[in-house]
Amino acid sequence: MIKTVWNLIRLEFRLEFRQKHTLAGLALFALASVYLCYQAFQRIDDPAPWNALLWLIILFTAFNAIGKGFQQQSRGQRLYLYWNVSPKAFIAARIAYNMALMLALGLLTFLLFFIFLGDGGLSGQMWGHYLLGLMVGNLGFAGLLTLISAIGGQSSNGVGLTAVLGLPVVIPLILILNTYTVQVLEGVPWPENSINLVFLLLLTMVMFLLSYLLFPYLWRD
Amino acid sequence: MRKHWWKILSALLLLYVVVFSFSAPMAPGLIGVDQTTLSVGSNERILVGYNTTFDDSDAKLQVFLEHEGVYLCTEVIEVQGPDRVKFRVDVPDTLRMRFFNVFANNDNDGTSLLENAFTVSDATVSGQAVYAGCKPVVNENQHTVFGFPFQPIIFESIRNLMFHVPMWFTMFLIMLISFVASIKYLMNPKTEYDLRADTAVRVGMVFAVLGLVTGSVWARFTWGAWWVNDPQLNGALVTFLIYAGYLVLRAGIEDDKKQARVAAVFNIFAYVILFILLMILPRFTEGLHPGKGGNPGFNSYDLDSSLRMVFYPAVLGWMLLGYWMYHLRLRMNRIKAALYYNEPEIFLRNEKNG
Repeated sequence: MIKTVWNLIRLEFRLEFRQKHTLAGLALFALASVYLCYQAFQRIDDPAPWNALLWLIILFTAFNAIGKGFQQQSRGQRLYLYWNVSPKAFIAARIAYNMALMLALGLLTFLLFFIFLGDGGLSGQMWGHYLLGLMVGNLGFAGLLTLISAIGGQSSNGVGLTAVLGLPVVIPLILILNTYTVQVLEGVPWPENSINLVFLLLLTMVMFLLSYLLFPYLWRD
Repeated sequence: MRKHWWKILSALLLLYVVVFSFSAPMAPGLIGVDQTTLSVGSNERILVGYNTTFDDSDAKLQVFLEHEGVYLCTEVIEVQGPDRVKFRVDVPDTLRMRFFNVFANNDNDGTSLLENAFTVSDATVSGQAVYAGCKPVVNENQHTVFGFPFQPIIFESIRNLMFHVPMWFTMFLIMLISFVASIKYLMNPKTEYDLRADTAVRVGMVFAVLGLVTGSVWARFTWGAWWVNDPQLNGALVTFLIYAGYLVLRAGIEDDKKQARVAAVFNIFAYVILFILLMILPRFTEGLHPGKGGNPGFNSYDLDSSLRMVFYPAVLGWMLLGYWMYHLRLRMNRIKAALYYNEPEIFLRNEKNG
């Protein structure tokens, strides 16, 4: 099982790198959104809007990155996987791959955001805590949106429906993330704030488990 | 007839709740004073009550001030009406920056409290207070007939408790039916389970909308705005959006079997997220609702538990009504499905066992 998952993750990466233009497209999306915000705001000194804007950009990047996933496969690929792999292995691999992708995209977006819109008042130890929140948050997005994009992909209007279904569902995650990161920026002590990260990880695990259990029912076609 | 007892129960309970919540009077209470500071020496102030009977001369009206269990007695000068009384209080020079609660007490209304009504602004000594002590009568018997408890800020709108809160309980119950039906559908894909899940979501949406509307009206009168930022309100709106998404999802898939399957998967996923959002998150965030962020819950007030005598029937009545609506609509949908698939069994088999 673990070997299958591992092979599938490798397969996903190989497919992705074979079509480099999609990866480049996602990076370009992040760059374009950040630059658009830079043109609109020039500089943001207040930490709260700085933080909110960063999460909005990452959220939309996540919808772009994960939402396309199930549309991209060709019919042949899907049939091949259907006959050869268990759905549980497939969804585990897909979530793992999306998590890796989102980690990379999230960090890239953060870097671009930092270059154009400043550091939002981060200093010293806060950097580590903020980046930790960024990483856990991106794992959460991947865990949550993978199944939603699989559901959206079942309808005739895939990408649009993924957004309609995904946005309300992602709000709890955003609420916790926002609390955590704003508190980091306000300098709330770490022991008090870290409970939010624990929540986030628990939520991600619940989502992973649910996706793992439910995906087999989406798989038959 | 025996099968329908719960429908009759629901109607009777709701009749009781509606009649009661609109006709029961509110317990007497104190609203305010004409001036919130006292100065050393003799003061004349006016105390304003609500639903009180200050003007009943047989009822022995008494007004007194209290600070940490020590009382300052007052002399009633003039009763200006059932809810206005003028009194005089002598403040000694030993009460710098003290807060005083005001109590009014008579035989009809019992004892009513106005918290932190006065501060003493110009006293010079802040040492051990020496009060012109007296021993007022505190009437424990709050009200002889039932009344809604008097609460500052909420006042008469407390009646909404019987409508707003049960809407959410009912919605949760009906969405739970939908959740269970979806799980059953995935384990055993029968049209009946899909009908149940779909119908329950549609009926639950009605209660979600009613919950939002009653809540919004209440928020306008107590918090001053139709919509405020509060975890419960976020949760309510997200619930609405998620189930609207569920209906859009159903509409977006042509094939019936596939529609049922995909909708069931989304429904299960959504319910778990909602549970986390509505049940767990608000306990860790600040908010305006009772019981959160330093706000007292309703439980700490209705000590005589007379509110519960209406609230629990209200919850049960609304839940039964919700289930009744769901049941009717489900039967209608069964007929539609039976006609659509031309399989009378879908209707007949399930009608027999309810």
